[in-house]
Amino acid sequence: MKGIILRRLGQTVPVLLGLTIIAFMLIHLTPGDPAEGLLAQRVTPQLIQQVRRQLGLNAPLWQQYLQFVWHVLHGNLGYSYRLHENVNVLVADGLPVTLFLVVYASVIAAAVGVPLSIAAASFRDRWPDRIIRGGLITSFGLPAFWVAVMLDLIALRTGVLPASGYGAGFFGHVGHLFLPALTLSLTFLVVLVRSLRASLIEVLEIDYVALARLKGVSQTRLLTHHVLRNAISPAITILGLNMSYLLGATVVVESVFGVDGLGNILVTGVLSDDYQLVQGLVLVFGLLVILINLGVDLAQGAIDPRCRLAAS
Amino acid sequence: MTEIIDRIAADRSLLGRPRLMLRVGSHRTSLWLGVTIIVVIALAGLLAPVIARHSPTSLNIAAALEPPSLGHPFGTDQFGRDVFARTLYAARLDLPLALALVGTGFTIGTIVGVLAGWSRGWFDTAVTRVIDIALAFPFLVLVISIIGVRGPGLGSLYIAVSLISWVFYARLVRAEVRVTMDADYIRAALASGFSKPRIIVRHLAPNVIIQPLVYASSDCVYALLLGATVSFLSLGVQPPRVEWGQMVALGVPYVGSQWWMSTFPGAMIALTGIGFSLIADGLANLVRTGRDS
Amino acid sequence: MKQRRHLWYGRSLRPRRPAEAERAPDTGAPLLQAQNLTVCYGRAGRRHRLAEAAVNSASINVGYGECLGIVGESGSGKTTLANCLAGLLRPTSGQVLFRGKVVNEAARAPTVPRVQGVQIVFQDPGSSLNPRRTVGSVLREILAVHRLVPGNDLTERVGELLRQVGLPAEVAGVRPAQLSGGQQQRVAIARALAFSPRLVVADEIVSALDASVQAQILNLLDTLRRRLGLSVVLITHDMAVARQLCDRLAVMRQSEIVEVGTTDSVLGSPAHDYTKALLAAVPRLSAANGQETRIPR
Repeated sequence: MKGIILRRLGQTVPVLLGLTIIAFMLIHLTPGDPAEGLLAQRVTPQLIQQVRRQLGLNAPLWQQYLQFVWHVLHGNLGYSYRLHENVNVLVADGLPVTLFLVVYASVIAAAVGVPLSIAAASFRDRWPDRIIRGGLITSFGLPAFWVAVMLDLIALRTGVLPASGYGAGFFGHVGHLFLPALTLSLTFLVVLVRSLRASLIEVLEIDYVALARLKGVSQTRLLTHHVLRNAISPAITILGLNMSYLLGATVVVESVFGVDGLGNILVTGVLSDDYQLVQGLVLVFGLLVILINLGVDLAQGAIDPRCRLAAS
Repeated sequence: MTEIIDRIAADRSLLGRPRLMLRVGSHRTSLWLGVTIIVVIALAGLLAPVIARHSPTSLNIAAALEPPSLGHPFGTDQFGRDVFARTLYAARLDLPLALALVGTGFTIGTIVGVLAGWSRGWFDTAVTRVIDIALAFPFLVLVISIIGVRGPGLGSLYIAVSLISWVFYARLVRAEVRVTMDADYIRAALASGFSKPRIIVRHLAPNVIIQPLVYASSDCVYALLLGATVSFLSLGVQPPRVEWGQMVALGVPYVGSQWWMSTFPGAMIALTGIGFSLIADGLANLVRTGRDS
Repeated sequence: MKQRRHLWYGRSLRPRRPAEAERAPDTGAPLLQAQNLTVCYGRAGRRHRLAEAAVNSASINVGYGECLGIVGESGSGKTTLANCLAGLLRPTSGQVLFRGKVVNEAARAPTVPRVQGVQIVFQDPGSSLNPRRTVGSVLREILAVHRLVPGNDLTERVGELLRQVGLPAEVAGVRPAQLSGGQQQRVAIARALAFSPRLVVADEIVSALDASVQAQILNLLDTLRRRLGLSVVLITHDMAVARQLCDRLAVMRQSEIVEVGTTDSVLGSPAHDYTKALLAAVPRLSAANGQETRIPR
């Protein structure tokens, strides 16, 4: 088991390297001079030269890259010229919020999605399944930001739930983040129910399930014991695979609901041309995706012995 | 020999079966429903100058923030512009934008995927690495960052999408190519003395392209939503050009009381998205039943 | 047509070819020659160790109009050798000659002639035909690209090829998925014949088929060979199949050819221990001595 963990970690290294390369190249995609973009409005040639020297922009590209990696490994993700703060401080502030949101959304998606998938798989091609699939097709085409705005509208009109902000304390978070999490979970729900339904249908057709039926096991007991346990593994995989998409969606959701997570900070940074901030955040987002995928893979190995065999 | 003649005689449909095996079923209805929706929206966009009674850009502060009425079916925005006209004209931008974004990713990705799957050498390894790395970032995050770095606008959006979206297609196509080349008929084509370009284009591509096309149909939804989301964040389509996501963003400060400014454009995005989604679902089911038989 | 079911007991009444591969009257060279073929998988630059070779120093000749059988167990390297002979695989060392000219060697890309040259029929009939193309379009493409037949005669020639392998001409409009395994294999043979080849490599062509269909396909191959004067290299793991069709036999074991000779001599009085063990391992319907024989590895 340890060998598999090590090998999996080893596979991550080139991807991490590529991650840093892309994050590094980001700043150099600017049409103009990176130093010019980093400064506020009033620029003079001397100021530009000073900033260039400060950031080491006069050195050859590969040297800049190595300097970048060195900084990253020491936890220095750059300095935000607009917000006048170190990037890693901003990341540390925003990360817990975003993580809370993502976990919250996953919980909602699972709580709603798993029963829906079971219902769809059990009543395959009958009216419950058709309705659920119709709902999936409809939700797939809904833009997350619009759903967010509509929910915001309803919140403002009815005043039931707070419409923005993070709130204080655990229950404050739960209350304030309910609408954002709900919006976020919608994007994930579609993929989850589709894939889970397909896996469940497959599992229901496997012989041993038929055998259990013959033995006289009731439908509910069958579902809960035999089927669910085998559906957990693909559900986790689906979660891992879509984490990337989910994190991307936080950008929009946080922006609409005024939640100060990483996504909102990214949008602020992008709109104010805060290149170092954007670069640092891109790196962090990529890192999050890789770490979560790694976690999912290892969790899979722990739960499903077939994965362990396949990996060895 | 008699067996096949008997079979042919007994089942005349054996020879006359059409290519795509369009059978009556739910996939057929969703497919045609989706196509209808898209066609209607496209027509609405094309005929916008005829249908809309107001200009999408002319300001009329006196008539600002009016709720929906007979004269303004979707109401007016904070500058007195007719939301209905703006919504129709925006269709001219959103729809082609989504299709163009998908087309770019599909073309680049298919070419790279075929070359990578066929060559299997260092190029294949390099492509796989790039795909793995690109997939490590949330797509929206990368797109927004690239746009942010290059400056907002449609051009930056195109650049950002062209740089990244091909990865999804390349991965799919490469996998399909490897599966296809495991089968013997490509080797048989080689043994038939056909040139490699001929084999790739006329033997490999038709088999390899089905799954990417199905994916492309659902990618239309993603592309539409991406264009709208990016414009919503003020990073995409810039004024005076009109776009649905941009319109929703303009209405956000007023959303509590003047709900119509954000609701209608967003609903149009949703409707178009549902149309593409229906097409995608129909295509996916079509291909699946074709394979099962 | 009498069903040839008892292949093991049935003795073929066809005249056997002489011990040596029949040579061309003018040059005296056999039709196909493999000289010291070695095929190693792995990176080209690495010094190949003989223990890892899929085919190790195989030399074999095929004469004009004869049927050579290559028998061996799975993993013995028969298919690799077949692909080399057919020019689909480059050897790591050694060469293949067709009509006395080198057509496949390590240094260059293979130049095996396809028209009136060497063709191959694969083991899995389902996967060797493009699922998206009709039978007719596959045959027509071959005839058209190589300009074997003038444009007006394409359909007629396609029908002729299909009739030759025992299929009605209407099959041309059909997709492979709608045919049975035996029919698909007939189409594969028709495709090989479209090139008017001098030699056909048949790589386990009946292994994936039912027993009753196997006999039909083998009979077809034999009939075609005699009628068209083809040479055939028949790869198989089934001794009974080899016995029925082949004039000469080569026995392969673990990438090497251990015995070569006429079918009668190899099967009747095997020289190599491995051949003896292979023969002894074939299940007999009558209990001879009831002893088990283990095949040496």
